[in-house]
Amino acid sequence: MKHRIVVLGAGYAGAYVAGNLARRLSRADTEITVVNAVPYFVQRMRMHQLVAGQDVKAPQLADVFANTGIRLCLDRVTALDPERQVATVANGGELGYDTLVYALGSQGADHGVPGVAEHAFDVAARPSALRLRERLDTLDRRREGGNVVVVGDGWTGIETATEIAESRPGLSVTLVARGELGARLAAGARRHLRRACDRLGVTVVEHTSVEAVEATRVLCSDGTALASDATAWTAGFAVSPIAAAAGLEVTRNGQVVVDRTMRSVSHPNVYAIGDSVCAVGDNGRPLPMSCASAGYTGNQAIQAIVARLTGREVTRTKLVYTYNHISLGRRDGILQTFDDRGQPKPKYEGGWKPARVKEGIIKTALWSTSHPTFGLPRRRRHLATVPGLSAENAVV
Amino acid sequence: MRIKADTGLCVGSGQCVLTVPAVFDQGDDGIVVLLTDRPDDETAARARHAVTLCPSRALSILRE
Repeated sequence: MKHRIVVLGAGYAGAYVAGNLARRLSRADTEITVVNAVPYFVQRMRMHQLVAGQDVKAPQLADVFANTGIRLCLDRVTALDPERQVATVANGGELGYDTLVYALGSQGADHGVPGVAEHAFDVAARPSALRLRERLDTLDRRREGGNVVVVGDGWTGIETATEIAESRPGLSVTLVARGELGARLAAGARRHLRRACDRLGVTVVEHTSVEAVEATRVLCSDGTALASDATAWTAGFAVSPIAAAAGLEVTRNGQVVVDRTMRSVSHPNVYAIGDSVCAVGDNGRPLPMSCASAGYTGNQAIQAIVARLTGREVTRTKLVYTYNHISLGRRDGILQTFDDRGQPKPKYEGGWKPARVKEGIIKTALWSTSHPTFGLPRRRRHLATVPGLSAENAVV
Repeated sequence: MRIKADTGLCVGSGQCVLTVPAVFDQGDDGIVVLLTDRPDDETAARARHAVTLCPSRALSILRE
């Protein structure tokens, strides 16, 4: 019997790890299955561009994993039983595993604000981003303008507001910030952001939290109401509840608690990566949810899984959070670097150069996840342990 | 110009190898291997480009 590796989720984290495991482990004694709810790869970092009306590719996962030996199961994961080592999918089927890679990521969350689910759109998934895009198309077509309110000034909110303003100049865009605009940026970068919002005609509403979203307005805690024909909700992301429901040890926000090798502290044959893991970085602080963290946590998990299964020593890879590239439309952007305490460094770069670098990075991220068979190694390793043996009993 | 590669940070996306195969290679585990840390005049510009493309920021240019 082959050692069964099941990867739940094929986002930046899951697709990357599945492809690399397939590249590095012998097909003769491992069998890799990837489970994903939708048949295409979601370029999460480009969802705001999709909303703005741009063409954003969504490669078919069947093509991505063609000729890799990876088995693709297109279904939604509904439950996980780590004692029986089985994942259940929506059609009732069960997938048994010897090693599980949990990469179910994050989704938009309303954090209990009334009306968000009914009236607002999130940009965390392709279907909701496309619904928002259709709404904006309708507003654009009627040629009377329209009000778009973007709630939340995290990176997603900033990128969404500026992208819509640049691509759809006929619409009025308002960005609602809980504190000062771009509070996580250093002073210089904050000024750059403000200038960009001015240039693009984005109205900034600061020090304001939103209490409720209605069909045509957004109600703020200070009693004001913002007229809104389309509300984009970027003020909250939450991880999949499946890990917590399965009894894996999780943090208060539901992220899986792991050791330095991304291995669940409660269930050693489960690894968690990407947004769904609480990975403590080398600076002692949890890594933020991001594509970059998907790369670092994914890489560590690959090293650990391959090493443990092939009887070699686990190498520690770096887990860092050093920078963010934030796009401000297609021609402007901000590169903000962070110090060891996660604080923004005073120096930043703004303008077309970081915008171009960000574009390059997103292309790179898509290319490397959608070409999992590219490159080395030329040799795939055999397992050191008896196939089918669970990782917790494997030679470490 | 001198290039530094941090193998602990590298996630093996292979972009540098695609961009300048004369300067970058990948080891058995996909992690970057520098074929030379001093690219010649002909490849220097492309090597700089590869440094900016690296998604994990594993590559840097050392000031001399």
